[in-house]
Amino acid sequence: MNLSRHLLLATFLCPLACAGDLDDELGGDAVEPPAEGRVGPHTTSEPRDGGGQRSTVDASDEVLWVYFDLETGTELDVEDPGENLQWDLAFRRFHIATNGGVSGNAGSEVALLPDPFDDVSGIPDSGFVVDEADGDDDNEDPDYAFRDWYDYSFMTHVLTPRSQTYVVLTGSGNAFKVALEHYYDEAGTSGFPAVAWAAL
Amino acid sequence: MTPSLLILAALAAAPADAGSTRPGSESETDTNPAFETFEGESRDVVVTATRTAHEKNDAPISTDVFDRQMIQDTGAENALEVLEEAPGVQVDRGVGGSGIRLQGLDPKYTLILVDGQRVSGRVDGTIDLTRFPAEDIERIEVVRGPGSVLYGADALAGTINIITRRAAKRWEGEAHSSYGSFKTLDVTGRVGHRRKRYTGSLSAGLHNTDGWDADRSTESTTGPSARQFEVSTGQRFASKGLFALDGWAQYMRRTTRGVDALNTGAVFDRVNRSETITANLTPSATCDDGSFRFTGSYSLFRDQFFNDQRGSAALDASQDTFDHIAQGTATLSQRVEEHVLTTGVDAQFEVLSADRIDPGTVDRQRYAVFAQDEWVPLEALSILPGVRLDYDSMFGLYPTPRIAMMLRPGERWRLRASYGRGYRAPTFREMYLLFTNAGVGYQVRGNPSLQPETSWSTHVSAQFLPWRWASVSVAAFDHRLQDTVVIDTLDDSDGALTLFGYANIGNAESRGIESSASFEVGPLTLDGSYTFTHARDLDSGLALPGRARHRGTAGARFHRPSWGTTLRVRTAITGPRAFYVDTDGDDVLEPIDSSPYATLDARLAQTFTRYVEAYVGVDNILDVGNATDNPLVPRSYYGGITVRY
Repeated sequence: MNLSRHLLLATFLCPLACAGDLDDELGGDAVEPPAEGRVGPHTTSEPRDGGGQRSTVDASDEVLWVYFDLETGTELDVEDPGENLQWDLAFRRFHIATNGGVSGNAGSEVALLPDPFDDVSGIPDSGFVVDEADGDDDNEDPDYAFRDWYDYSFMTHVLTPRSQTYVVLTGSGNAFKVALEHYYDEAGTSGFPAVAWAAL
Repeated sequence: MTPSLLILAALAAAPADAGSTRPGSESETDTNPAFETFEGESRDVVVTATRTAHEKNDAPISTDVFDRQMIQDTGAENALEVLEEAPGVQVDRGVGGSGIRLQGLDPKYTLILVDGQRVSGRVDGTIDLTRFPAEDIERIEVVRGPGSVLYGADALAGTINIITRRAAKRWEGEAHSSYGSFKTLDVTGRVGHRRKRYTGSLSAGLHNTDGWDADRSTESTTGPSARQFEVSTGQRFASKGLFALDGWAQYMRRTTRGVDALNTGAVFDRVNRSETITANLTPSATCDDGSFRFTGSYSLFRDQFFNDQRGSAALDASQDTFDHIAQGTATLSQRVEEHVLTTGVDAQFEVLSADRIDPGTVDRQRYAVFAQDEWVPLEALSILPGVRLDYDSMFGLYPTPRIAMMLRPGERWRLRASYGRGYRAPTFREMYLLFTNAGVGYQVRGNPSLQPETSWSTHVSAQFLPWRWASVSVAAFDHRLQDTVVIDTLDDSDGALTLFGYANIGNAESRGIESSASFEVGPLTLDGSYTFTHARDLDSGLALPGRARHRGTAGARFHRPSWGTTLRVRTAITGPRAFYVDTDGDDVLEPIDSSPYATLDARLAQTFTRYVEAYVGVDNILDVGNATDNPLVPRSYYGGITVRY
C-alpha cells in the first residue's frame, strides 16, 4: 500500500476515529442505537427528518415527572431522582430538568447555543451550567438550565419553542444536542414536548 | 300585563285631576284602569321606574316601552331581537350569551327582571336575552339609570323589565310559523281565555337554527346552532272585591352547539344545554287609596356544558351548573294627599352549585327595605325621593338612595332629572371560581374578599311633545363607578400557566348624550336617534373596549290598515369602537379602532283576512360583520305566517 492510499484511508476513517476518541475522552458509556416507537409509558420516539431522533413526551401531569435516558433513548421509571444516575432529562409540563445541580447527582451540564438543531455539530468549549436553586426571579421554581427554551405569549397563552439548541453533557460522559420543537400534541393539548436530540 | 301594573294601576283609580301629573293617575278613562290595562289594550302605561303606574309621557323617570304591537312589527322571536335596534342600546355578544349595553356599561350592570322579579342565570355577567321568547312578552320596559333604589343590586346602568303576556280577549288563539336562512325555524302556539274574574293562557314554542360562521378559514364557528322549546302559562283569579291572585310559570330548554379552535391547535366541539324554570305567584289587594301585593318568585337556571376535544380526550371537560334564586317582595302603596308612598320589603335567596367553583355550592341571602315618596307639590312638579337599604349576607349593608324630579313647564314639555346610587354585588363566580384552562394555559381564581361595585349616576333629560304625533327628547347621563371588579394578573411568571384573579381595583366613568325623535304622519311613522357615549377607565384613561362613541338609528314604518299592509325598514349606524390588541407580538396591547358599520333590516307584512298575516323580511341587508370584533348574523332572509283568533 503506497503512501497516498494510506492518506486516503486515514481521511475516511478519521471521523469514525474521532467519534470514538471523544467518547473515550469523556469517559462515557457507549450510546445505544436509539429505539423507535413507544419507549416508555409516556414517551414515543421516531427518527427525525434531518437526523437524530424526535421523542414526544406526555408531560401533561401537573405533578409527576417523566425521566428520559439519552444513552438508551428510553423512558426510565425513577423512584429517587437523586439516587438515580441514569436519567438525563426529566419533563413536567413545560419544566425540563437535567441530572445535575439541584435536580440530580449525575453531574449533567448544559450549554445553550443560539443555533438551530441541524447546525450544531460540535461541543462548545464553555458555557455549561447546571440546574440551580431558585434565584432572584418571580417564580419559586429552580432555575433550570433549560428554563429559557420557549417564548410565551401573554395574549394567547401559547408557548412557542425558540430556535436554539442545548448541548447536554450527561453524567455518563456523553454529549447530546437537544432542541425543543413543539409543546402541543397533534390535538393541540399542552404538556407534550417534542424533543429533537442526537449524539454528538 | 304584569301583576304589578295591575295592582298599581288600580291604585291609580283613585280620583285624580284630568291631565295632572299626580303619581298613578289615569286621566283618559273613567273605567277601572287596572282591569283595562290588564286586558292588554295598547296604552302606554309604565310601571318599572317607580313601581307605580304612569302614562309613559308622564312618568317621573323616563321609560322606553316596546309593546306587543312593536314586537309583532319587528318580527322578533326573542327579547334581544326586540331591543337590539333600540336607541342607545348596543348588543354585546359574549361567552355568556347576548346581552345589551346601556349607556356604555356592560350587560352585568343592567338588571333583568321578569314581571318585576329577578331571574337567575348570569353567565360571565350576562343574562342571555335570547332565552326569553317573544310570544310570551306583552311588553318590555327599559329604564336607564340606577334602579337599585327599588330593585337592589345590579341596576346601575338600567333596568329591563320583561312583562309577560296575558290573554286579552274572551277567547284567543295564535299559531305562528316562520322559516329563514340558516334553517332557522320558529313555531309557536298560544291559547288564552278571559272571563270577568279569570284569565288564563297557555303557550309553547319551538325554535331551531343551524348557526352560522363568519370566518370559514378556521374551524371555529361564530354563531352556535340552537334548538329550543318552551312552554308557559299565566293564570289570574280575581275576587269580586279587593283580592286577586296572579301566577306565571315557564319552562325553557335550549341546546346550543358550536366549535372552538384554540391557537394551540386544539379544536373543541362545544355543547350547552340550558334549562330555565321561572315562576311567580302574586296575591294582591287593592282599594281606592292604596294597594298591597306580595310576589313570591323562583328562578332556576341549569346549564350542562360539554367540551369535546377532537383527536384527544385530554382536554375534554364537562360542567353542570345550578343557579337558584328565590325572592319574596311585599309592596304597599298608599296615597296620602299629594303623596304616594311606596314601601316594601324584599328577601332574596340565591344558591349556586357548579363544578368550577370552590366550594362547589355557595349561597347568600339579601334582605332589604325600601321606601319612595312620589310627591306632587305642584301640578307641574313631581319630586321622588327614595332609598333602599340592602343587607347582603356576604357584604353587609348597602344603602342606595335616589332623588328624582319631573317638571312640566307646559303641556308640551317634560324636564326630568335624577341622581342616585347603584351597586353591583360580585357574582359567585367572581368570588369562588376555580378554573384551569390547561388547553390554553391559564387559571382563573375567584376572590372571596371582593366587595360590591358602586356608582353614582346623574340623569338630566328634556322631552318635547309639540304635537300628539311627534316627540323629541334629549338626555345627558353620567355614571361614575368605583371599585369595579376587573380581572387582574396574579402571576404570569409560570410561563405556561398564567394565573388570573378578580380584584376591586377599577374605576370607570361613562357619560354621554342620548337623543331621539319620532313623528307619525298618516300611515307613516318615522323615528331616529343619536347617542354619544364617552366611557373610559379612569385609571388608564383608555376608552372602555367595544363601545361606539357615536351611534345612530333610523326607522320608517308604513302601516295602512285598510290595505292590511305594514312595511318596516330600520337602520342602525355604529361608529368606530376601540379595541386593544397585541398587533406586534410584544405582549403589549395597542389600541385599534374597528370599522364603522351600518345594519339595515326590512320587513313586509300583509294581512289577508282578519285572522291571517303573512310576512317576509331581510335582516342585515348590507351583510356586515365578522368573526372577531363584530359577530353579527350575516344577511338572512325569512318568511312566515301568523294566524290569530
